[in-house]
Amino acid sequence: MAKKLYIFGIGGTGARVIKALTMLLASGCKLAKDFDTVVPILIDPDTANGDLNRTKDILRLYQEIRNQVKEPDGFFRQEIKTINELANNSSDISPEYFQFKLDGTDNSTFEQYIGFDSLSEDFLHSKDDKNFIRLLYSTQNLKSELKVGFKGNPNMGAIVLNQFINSEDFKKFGQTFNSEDAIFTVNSIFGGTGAAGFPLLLKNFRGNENLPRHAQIKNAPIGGITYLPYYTLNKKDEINAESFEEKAKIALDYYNRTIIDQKRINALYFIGNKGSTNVEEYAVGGPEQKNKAHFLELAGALAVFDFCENINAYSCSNGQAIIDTQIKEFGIERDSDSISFDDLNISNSEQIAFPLSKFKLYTDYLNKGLGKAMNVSRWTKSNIKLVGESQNSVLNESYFNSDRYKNQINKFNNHFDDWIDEMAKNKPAFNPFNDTNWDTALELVKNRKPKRKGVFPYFEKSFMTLDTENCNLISQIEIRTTKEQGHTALIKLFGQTTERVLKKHRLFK
Amino acid sequence: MKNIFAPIYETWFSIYEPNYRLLFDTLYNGNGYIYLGLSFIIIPLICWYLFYYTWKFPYGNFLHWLLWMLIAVVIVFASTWSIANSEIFASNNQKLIEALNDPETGYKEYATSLPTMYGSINSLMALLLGFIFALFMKRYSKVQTHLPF
Amino acid sequence: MTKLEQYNIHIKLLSYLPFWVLVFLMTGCSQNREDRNVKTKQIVNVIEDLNEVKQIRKATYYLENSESMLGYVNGFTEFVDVVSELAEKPQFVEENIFREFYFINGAGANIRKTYIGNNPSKLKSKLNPTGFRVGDITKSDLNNMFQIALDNAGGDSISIIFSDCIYDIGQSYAPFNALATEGKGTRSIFIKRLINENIQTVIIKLHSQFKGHYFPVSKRGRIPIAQTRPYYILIFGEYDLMNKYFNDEYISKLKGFDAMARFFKSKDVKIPYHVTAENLKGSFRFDRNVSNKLIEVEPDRQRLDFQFSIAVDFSALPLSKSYLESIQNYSCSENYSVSEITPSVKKSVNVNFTPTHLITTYAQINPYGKLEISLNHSTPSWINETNSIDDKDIKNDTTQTIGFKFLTDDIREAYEHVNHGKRITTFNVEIIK
Repeated sequence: MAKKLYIFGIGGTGARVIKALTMLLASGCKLAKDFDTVVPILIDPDTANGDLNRTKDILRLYQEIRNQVKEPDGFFRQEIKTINELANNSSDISPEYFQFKLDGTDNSTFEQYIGFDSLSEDFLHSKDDKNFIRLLYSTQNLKSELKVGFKGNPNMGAIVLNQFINSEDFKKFGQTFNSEDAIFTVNSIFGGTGAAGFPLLLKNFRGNENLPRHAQIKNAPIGGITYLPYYTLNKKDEINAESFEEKAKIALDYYNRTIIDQKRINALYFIGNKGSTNVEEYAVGGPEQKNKAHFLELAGALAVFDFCENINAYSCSNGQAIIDTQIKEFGIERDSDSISFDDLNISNSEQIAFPLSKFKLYTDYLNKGLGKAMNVSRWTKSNIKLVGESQNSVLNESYFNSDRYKNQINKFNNHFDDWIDEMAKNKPAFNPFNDTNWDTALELVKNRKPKRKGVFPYFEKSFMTLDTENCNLISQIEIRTTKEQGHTALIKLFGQTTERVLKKHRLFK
Repeated sequence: MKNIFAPIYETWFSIYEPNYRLLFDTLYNGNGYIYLGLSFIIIPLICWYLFYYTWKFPYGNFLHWLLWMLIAVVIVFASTWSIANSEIFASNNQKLIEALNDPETGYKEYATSLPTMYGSINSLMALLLGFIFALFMKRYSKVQTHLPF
Repeated sequence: MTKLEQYNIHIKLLSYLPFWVLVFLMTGCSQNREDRNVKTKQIVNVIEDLNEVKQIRKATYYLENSESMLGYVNGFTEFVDVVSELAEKPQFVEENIFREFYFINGAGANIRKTYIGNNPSKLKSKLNPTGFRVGDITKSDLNNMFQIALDNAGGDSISIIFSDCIYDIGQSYAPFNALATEGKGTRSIFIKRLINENIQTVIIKLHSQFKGHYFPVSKRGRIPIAQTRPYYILIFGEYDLMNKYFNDEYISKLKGFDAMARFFKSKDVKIPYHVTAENLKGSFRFDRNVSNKLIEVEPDRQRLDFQFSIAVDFSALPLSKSYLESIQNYSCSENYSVSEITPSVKKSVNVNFTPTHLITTYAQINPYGKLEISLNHSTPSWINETNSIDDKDIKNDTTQTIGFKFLTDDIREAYEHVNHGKRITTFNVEIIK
């Protein structure tokens, strides 16, 4: 039976962490302990949110690419599915299937959502509901448009998010849940949606008997990562970055009492960055809220892998973890404003350095190296005479000019490059790669120099070595494919050749 | 083997002059023909083996292939010339030595042209055989499969 | 004793083996030393005998001294010169070969041999009309003359006849029948001698001044003439001796020499020969495994004929240059013909012998097959040219002899008979496409 990991990414932070996770999965990282399917679920009322839409697009592209790769065993090897696919046994791919809808948030204010106007003001008969509400919510809160989220107000989020528990999407989640499956949540503690949504979700996982297959869900291993403040804003307005820390403290106290002490969750990861933090452009939700990718989001994605690695330690009974909630924090080996792989601890470095380097090499090649090889190198030729059909490549000029390649592979790779670039420009920067060109392609990893000396040492660090490996492997049986399955050839070929090249040049073992 | 190679030169390409029979008999008896024949087989074989199985340059094109062919042919020519020259002018056949040293016989004048003729023939054979080797070897090459076409 | 020690002993014994063999041979030989000496002497004697056979021991000269010969000794003529020369042949003098000189005339049972002596000076003193008039000068008998001469030839003896080779047929009404009959007699004489011996006959035609009377065969009487007339020297002797003492070079230098012919029994003489590409038309390759086998033969593209040459070493044959170089004396099988025979002047490194001649042969059509080129026993053309059937106009005739052909034909037939059609030599060439 397929063993699934449901990942609930709540709010913008959740979306960005799921994006980071998707990039790691694309580079070939795989969840341990036989988790063969990842089911990302994005929860955010801010449907126009830049980060959300970007993540949804990335997930869609991931699926479109992976579905065209036959038995991927390198890049894109982890399967990602939507609830819709699982529930309806459908193969439809749409970015919308990754998001749980929140009804009534598109064009309403908070006061409209709660039906404020219809509340009584009869203070004489102790039915002064309106004023009661005014005690809890400011006028600003009430007038707040929900379509851009809760603007850092978890008190609003708690109300609105509650409705989705009874939503069809959530029911489908329950229907598809099996006894071997697990759940992981991602939220920020200082935001609006994440702060409110996380405890709400947890309460329903463990205690909502109306949830289909509640018996499996309530005793399923659940992990989560909560983000403490790790960035600030460049101005103060409706959303006040100075309140992030205060809100975090309040929320932590709440988590301690209601979640940790009650062993509602098996493992809770905390991550944040105080001090030298990045300054983001102020935006109140919507497409403008498109924060630069941050290293901590990548680190958060590592928490998912850690959770799966230790899944066997997480047992539950009667909706409670058998052992105390595992509290985990993230750290790096060396504090630096520009973090490279060598600054990470050994296990994290080993986990992501090689896959990311391979994928980076692959995207760099397609951007900067393909032009030289196109129609010249054997591995791009489909019209070689006097050889078997298997000797001809499907990765020809026609493939690289196709819409399929441009709209899927190229787009995904651009997202990856943007993600790497943004992390490199953030604070602290995650900058493990050098800028390279055709001649210095293999010098892409900081602090690691290619060590192999061939007949022509100059060419040994260029893309030529990759082209040579592509030629060597293009006819291999697991890469050979039909014209319609170009992605299979591309993904599998580069999955193997990038690995070979980096190992041969002793950049990685 | 000399009965395989000798007719190539003597019959196919008509490099045979009964008046200078001693030259050809010396090549025949002294295994000169074998060395000449193996030159146009082994050298192209090695050259094309190197091209298809050891030359890992992934941007090889038809011009590279052509250049390689030219190099192989030149090597064959030089090697053949050297072998023929040695087999004729440095042979152990006393009769031939005397004939070459005697201007009246005309042997030296005729023999001087032979290394170039053998070189040319072997170059042609290397070209043809090399082409055939290439067509066969390309099937099993990884990097240069697409050459010459 | 260990195996190694046994092995070492065997090695030692073996290493001394040659010594013991030598000792055995020497002791064995020494016990029969006397017998051995005798045998050795016998062997040496045989070798010496063989050497002796290769030298002339005796030369007998017969001068026909019939009336028809007197004109040759009237004055110091070429005839006199040649007789003197041959009487004192330098080789004979050098080797101190015993010579006997005879006059010979008469006919039938009355044939007269007049001994002149064994001193050439004595002979010379007789070379004049007076000296010639001994015996019966009115008659001559060529057959008997040949018989006598042949009887004295063979082994280490030779005979030399000086004659005008005109048969004396008396007053015959059918002179040519008579000549033919006489000829048959000559033939029989030769056949008898040739059965068991290889007697070579050399006929030399010379000319000399003749001042005297010619006695025509065809009519009675005599005709005084003073002109050049042919005469003949016939020499008989063992084949090898004749080659040794009377080679072409010597004979052709005799004063008044015109021509010569040799008749001999075919001997299995190995004549070295080899195909060459001299005068080549077309192309071929030599087969490397079979000598004188031509392969990949192609005719000339334009003329469509195929021609090549055979280098031969005729030095072992006693034949004259003119004979060897005469195309008529050769015959070819297949579609080939001999186009020329030339002395070999060009040094050839392609053959293992020194060639004396180059025989060029060609075929106009279909050059393939097993070619045989034979050098045949044939009558030289000068013999036919010398022959005349009529001696009426003898005064203008300085070269011909009536009925000469009958004499030579019979000698030739005799040799053909004993040769059983064998050729002098044959060259075989295989010609393959």
